[in-house]
Amino acid sequence: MNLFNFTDSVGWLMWVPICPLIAGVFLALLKPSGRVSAFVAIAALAVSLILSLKAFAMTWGHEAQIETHNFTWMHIGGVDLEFGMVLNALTGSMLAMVSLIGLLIFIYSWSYMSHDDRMGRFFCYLSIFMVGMLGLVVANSLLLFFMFWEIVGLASYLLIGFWFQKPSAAAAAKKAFITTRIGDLGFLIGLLWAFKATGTFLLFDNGSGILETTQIAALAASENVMFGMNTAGAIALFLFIGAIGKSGQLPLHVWLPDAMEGPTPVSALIHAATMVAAGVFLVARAFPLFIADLAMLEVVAWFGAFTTLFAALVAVGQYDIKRILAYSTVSQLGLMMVGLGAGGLALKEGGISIGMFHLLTHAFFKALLFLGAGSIIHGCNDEQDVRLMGGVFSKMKISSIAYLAGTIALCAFPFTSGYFSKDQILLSAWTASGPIFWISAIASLLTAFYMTRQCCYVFLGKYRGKGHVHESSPIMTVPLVILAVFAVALGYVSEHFYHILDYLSGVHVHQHESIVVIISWIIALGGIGLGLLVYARAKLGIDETDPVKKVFPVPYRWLENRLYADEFYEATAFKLWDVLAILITVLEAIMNQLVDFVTVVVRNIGSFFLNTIDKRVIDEVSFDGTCSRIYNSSQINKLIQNGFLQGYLRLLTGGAVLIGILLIVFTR
Amino acid sequence: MITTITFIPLVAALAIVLAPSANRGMIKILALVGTLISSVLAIQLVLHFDFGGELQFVEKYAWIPSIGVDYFLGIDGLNALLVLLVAFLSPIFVLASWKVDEKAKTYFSLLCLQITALYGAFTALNFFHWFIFWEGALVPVFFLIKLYGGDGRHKAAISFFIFTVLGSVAMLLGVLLLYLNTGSFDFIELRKLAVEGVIFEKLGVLYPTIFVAVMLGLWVKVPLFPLHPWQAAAYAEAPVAVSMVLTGVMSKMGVYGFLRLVVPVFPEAIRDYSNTLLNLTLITILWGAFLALRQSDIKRILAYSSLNHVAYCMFGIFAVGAAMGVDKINAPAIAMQGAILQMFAHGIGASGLFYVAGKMEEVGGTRDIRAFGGLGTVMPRYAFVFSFLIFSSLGLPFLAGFAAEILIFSGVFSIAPIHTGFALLGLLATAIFLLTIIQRIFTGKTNATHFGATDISYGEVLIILPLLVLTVWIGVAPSTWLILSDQFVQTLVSLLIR
Repeated sequence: MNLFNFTDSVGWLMWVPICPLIAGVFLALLKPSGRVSAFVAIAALAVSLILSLKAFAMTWGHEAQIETHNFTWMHIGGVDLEFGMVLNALTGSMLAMVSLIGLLIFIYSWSYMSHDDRMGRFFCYLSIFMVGMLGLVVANSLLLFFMFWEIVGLASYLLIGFWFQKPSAAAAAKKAFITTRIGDLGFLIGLLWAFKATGTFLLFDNGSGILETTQIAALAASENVMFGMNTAGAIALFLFIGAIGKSGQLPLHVWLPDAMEGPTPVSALIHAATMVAAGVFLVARAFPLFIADLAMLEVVAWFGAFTTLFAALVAVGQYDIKRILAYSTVSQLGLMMVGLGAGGLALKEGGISIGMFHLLTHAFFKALLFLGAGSIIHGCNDEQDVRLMGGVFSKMKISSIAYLAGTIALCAFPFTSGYFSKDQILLSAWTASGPIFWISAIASLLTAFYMTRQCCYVFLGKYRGKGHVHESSPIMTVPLVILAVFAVALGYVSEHFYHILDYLSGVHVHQHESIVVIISWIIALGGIGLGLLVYARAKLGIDETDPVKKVFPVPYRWLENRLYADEFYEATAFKLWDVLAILITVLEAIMNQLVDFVTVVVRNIGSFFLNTIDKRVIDEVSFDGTCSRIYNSSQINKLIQNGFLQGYLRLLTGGAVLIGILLIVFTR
Repeated sequence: MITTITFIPLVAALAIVLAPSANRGMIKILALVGTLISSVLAIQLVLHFDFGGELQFVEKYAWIPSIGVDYFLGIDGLNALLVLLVAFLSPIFVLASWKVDEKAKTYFSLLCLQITALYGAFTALNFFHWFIFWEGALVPVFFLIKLYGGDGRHKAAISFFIFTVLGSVAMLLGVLLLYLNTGSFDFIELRKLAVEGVIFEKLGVLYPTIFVAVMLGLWVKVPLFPLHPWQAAAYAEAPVAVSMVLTGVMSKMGVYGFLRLVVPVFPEAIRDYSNTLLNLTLITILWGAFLALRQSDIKRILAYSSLNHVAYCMFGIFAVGAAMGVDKINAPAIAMQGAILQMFAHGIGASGLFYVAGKMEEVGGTRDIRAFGGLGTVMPRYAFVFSFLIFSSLGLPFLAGFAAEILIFSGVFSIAPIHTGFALLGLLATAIFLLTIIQRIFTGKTNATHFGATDISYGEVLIILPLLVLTVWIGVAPSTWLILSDQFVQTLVSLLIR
């Protein structure tokens, strides 16, 4: 591994995750004050950002090029388990996004967490998170990818449970870790299978890596290894299970809304912009495996479609500002999956562009929305219920305008970044499958609707909460403004956003369909219009019934209760799991009872036997008395020490003598 | 040299017996110095180990020539890592007992005796004195549990004793029959005979019986389902350092025995019965994990967790028997290397966990995790160390548990994918019960009775620090340790796979 060669190899990419690692270890061991901690973590991440931008610059314009640097981790029986770094467009773009957004969120946290006396610890955890996230982006080995993926899971666990004194936070942290671990086990099987089938963990290795043509062709050649899929498809399926867990797709989405127990910058960084995108990134990274079996692309698209609709529906019935955004995130992640799946069906390799483009634009506007929400929550005296907000716009102008910029991007308002990326997804879906297109379209309409609903609650009317609303400090608002510019302009800045698409997947992507463009205009404007129509003039508040609920009381209650996903799991999977555990516990108890019984029998026989012999030899007269005494004795202690152990040792000695005699007889 | 290493703790034990019993400080220092000298010498020895070579540092003297008993010691790729394990852990066992004041003389002499037995059991290569050490390791533990254990100690001790003795007797008889048919007590010699097919031939119809008999003793020691019921009680009721000895080293004696005495000597049986063996191991893995889900006694949870983790070793070993051949990833070698690394990694990690769990009893006077809460606020250092070890145990990458388990799974998946799939359920259960421990003890509101609890001292941190460092080292650079056993594993695998 050569970390210091910045010209000929890409070993230096390892510094991108190592920088925050150094900061994290420094903070963990030396425990400096909060300000120093923030400074160290931010400085380290700034170095990562510079290196990331270098990586981005190196790949821009060289999209088809793949550079790797591999090294051996373990060498066993002539086989190497290898690690490595890879630099291609996917790495470059993702690195730039993650470290840029990460840095902005770090700066924001400096102010947001300044009153928390465990600020140093917070930056330590944030740094650990960046290690995992940046690490998995540069990883060129499925195994190394998985290892960083787990580090991301750990950091997420620590950050969600940051306020661990709150039982709900601790429970949410555990739930997140365990739910994603279910997915991780799928990922694990996928990578083990890939290793078995290809003999390597490397993704790119001069033609013999898992994702390269030779291996893919060999994997695709095997027919019907599982559910009618070929080996590549089967591996992809298991990897996708990992992605489902991490990216909060149905049916493993339940952890993500609860994860909002963490501090708001955490929600922005982890549960909107980066970590949850890791699952989508995994699919994009392993895309050659998915393309090798079209059935797998359909699976991805359908899971995405169900998730995006499901979460968009639930978001309509939520009142917690962060929860609305959380469900929105789940929904958008589903849309990215649709992009990858349908995009792959429509455009082959080009599918990567469709999914990844939305991932990148979403990262900016969703980070913006969460940070904006954090600012608003701060301004409204830590209130998160939108029914207790209202009239915020006039009091917090900068935060509100930034928030609205994020909102229109999320609603895919024409010519914002979200519009361009969502349009591409709808276009692909149009080509690939009618039902998926319509599901995605309805979900997008709902997105515009619930975001408008939320904005009406928060910004319009009079303030309904306690205390006074106040604007946040500049350290918090500056990142908001930067992100707002990105959110609106990211698609527009390059009027040739097709370049971005071509760059992301390395193939030429061009799709156009006027009818779809018209539909997506209708969706965005219609959703917003509908929202305004229902909510702009309505009486809102904690004591009022939501206008939609007035019309559809019963279905709305389902939405309020998040369509009972948690309750469903509690009644099914949890029960089954408990029953298994109880069953085994009962069986073990029975075994223990048996053992106790046998113990008593053995002990009694043993002592009876020994005492018989002993007493016969030593004192025949007292035999009866001793026997009954021992039978009646309940002093286990005495029995063992005076009978059993000595007896055993005697047996052992006797046995040894006997063996000696036997041996001498036999060997002669 | 090995003899010196083995018997220095025994000398220390004798010195302790002769020391004035009022002078506890001297007793403890004697125990510490004795184990430390052995450790230093043992580490020194392994540093000079030639990775490419076979058996090294051999000491072989005729002892009872008429029955082929030699005093025969040596280190090869299999026990090098285990000798290191004992060397790293034994001073920590003594330090972890530092607060024992009652009957200190008996306690520390027994502990030193125990350590001699452990070194002996891992280095002896002739069944005769190996068995003496093997049984010798049993007696101090029995007394330590019985004299210094928790409330249920009497029952735990006797159950432990009966299981292991019955297992040992079966093994003894098995090996005697083996001897009568082959004329050798020598592990290396027996292995050679097995390679030549002599053992299979000579034992004839007795072959399966002898195989099972020999295996029984080890099966109890590991332990594997269904001979495990002694384990939880013994681990739970033993004093802290003894729990550490039991889980850290004694459970590895069983696994070691398999690799020394069963796999090389009965390769045909390991192949023929591989399916049954794998199934029973899989049951053990799930059994331990699911039992731990419903416990509230911290030491019982850790005991069942140990049952689960040590079974992974056997999973790797038995899978080799099921392998049809060497494929392109050399899965059998990977699985077996994983098994050996897991012995080391688990020895380090589990000892650490039992050590920190012992602290709970000091703080709250109970082992019931439900009685705790919010300790993270008042004892941050303790929370950090405990959580660190827990995450290593649940297989967090870059820590010890992951490195070993990923090797086992990589190897076994190629050979028995369905078994592996089920075994992964164990990983899920492990995550659940381990995180539940953290949740119960450290998060939420601080229990009013624990407001005044003092965090672990820097001295205690120092005791546990070597284990934390090793955990990271194994996890980040497993090659350091794997290289010791590489040659051995390749030889053994080629023996098993035809």
